[in-house]
Amino acid sequence: MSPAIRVVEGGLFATVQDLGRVGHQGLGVPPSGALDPVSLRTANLVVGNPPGTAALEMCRLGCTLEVEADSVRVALAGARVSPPMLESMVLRRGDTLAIGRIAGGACYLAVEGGFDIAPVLGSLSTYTRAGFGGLHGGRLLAGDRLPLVRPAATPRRERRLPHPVPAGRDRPLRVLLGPQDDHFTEEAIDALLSADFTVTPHADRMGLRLSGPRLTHVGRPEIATDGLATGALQVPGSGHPIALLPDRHTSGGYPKICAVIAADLHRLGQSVPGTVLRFEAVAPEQARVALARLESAMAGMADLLSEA
Amino acid sequence: MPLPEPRLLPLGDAALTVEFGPAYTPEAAARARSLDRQLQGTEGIVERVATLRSLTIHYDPRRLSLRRLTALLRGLAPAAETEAEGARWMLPICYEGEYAPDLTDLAARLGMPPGEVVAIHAAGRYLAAMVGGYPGYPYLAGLDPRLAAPRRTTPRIAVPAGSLGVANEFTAIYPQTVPGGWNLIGRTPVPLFDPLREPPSLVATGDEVRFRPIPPAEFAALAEGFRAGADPVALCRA
Repeated sequence: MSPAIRVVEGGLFATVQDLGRVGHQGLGVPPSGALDPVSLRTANLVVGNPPGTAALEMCRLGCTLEVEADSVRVALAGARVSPPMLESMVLRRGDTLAIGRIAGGACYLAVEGGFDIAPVLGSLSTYTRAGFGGLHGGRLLAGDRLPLVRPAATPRRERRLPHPVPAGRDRPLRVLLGPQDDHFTEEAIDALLSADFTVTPHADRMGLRLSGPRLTHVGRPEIATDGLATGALQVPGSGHPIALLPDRHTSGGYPKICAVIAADLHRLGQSVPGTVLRFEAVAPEQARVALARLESAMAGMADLLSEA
Repeated sequence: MPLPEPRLLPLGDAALTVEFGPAYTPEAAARARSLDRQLQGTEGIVERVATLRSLTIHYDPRRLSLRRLTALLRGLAPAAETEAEGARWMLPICYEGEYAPDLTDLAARLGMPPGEVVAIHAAGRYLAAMVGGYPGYPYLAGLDPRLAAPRRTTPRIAVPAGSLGVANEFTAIYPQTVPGGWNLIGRTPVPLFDPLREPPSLVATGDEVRFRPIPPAEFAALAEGFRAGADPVALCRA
């Protein structure tokens, strides 16, 4: 049989994701892709793949996997799990790997060489709501087989990272106000930038509903549909924001009070129900510097790799 | 009269919305489509989303700064509006029976016989003013004002794929089975969106769409044909 990883237990919500589907938002197709792209890239770095290679994204409760190949090299990164993280390891035919509970939003399992799955619209990312991408358009279930590109691990030493990319866990998420901050009262903007917001159980790959002080609109709580972005905080009539994640719609009719900057999207993507979020407004120049710092930290990770 | 300057609204640090007006107007939608075309191939711009009143530009802030993007936009000459800029489609629609669950209701609300609703709708020539919301969902402008009616007060939990809806000044077709509140007056057997097709959406923003009424028997035959692999592009090009 062709080399594969067999899913013994599907976990809570596991999908194949890469860095997203680019170029089809104009037709209403969301980008999808990893909730935490930094951890996806980290897992790929450790296992020796190009950074955007599709990996297994697991949320809250991970899969149990069995190797149906001579061997396969894997690496885990992202939210904490019990198996060793940030180090590559070779699993052999018949070995099982139980990921178990995930302490955070998403954990990534990268496999050396990647999965042998045909891209849909240029990406391996799974978009479950329309049922395409990934293995079969849906979340992984017991019995699924993830085909592997490589029949066996390449002979080389294992590698590890001493620590993940520093995430600044306790810092507020940095946002740019707008595009519709003028649709909210001054008190709403003050509350957005000073209060705690808690992620409610209404959280999936489309977005996170937040609870906190009510953000009051000036006038009607709707606008004529315009474009959406991952990280934008749209506020419906309830006054409680929804932070948009990669499976969001491409356009929508609720005013967006602010949007999380690119350098902090991976932190937003690691939120789970109960996570407390705070927001800090920054200027575009600060956002630019923050992203340059993140990219240079990512580039520095390659130098931190050590051989076991 | 010079066109009003659009508003440039940052949507985070990797997207910028160019807003041509607070609501849909044919002019605002046309300007969004024109700018969309003008920006094709611009270094650093990842993709663009035209809506009925704006264009959202997703860019890579590592390659293109907000300042440079803004300067580039301010330097562009407003593009001439062109109509019928896209492809032309003739879509078969069955306006009968189970395929048109809201037709009788809508006709009563509009005070005309159902046959007249169908005749007016099928005689229309529509412009895909925007595609989005759901993958491949076209907002078709040009609905006869006599057919303008608000959405249903209670949206349906599942509108069958291919359903033709009308609401306010638009008509649209649901490419997938999704929740929706438009008044359903027909259904097409044509698969409007297929992620394995290139391009995946039959109708693109700027295309012209007309409708051809078909009886249920033809609906069934066409649906069977598409299931067997018939090419909707070849069958529906006007």
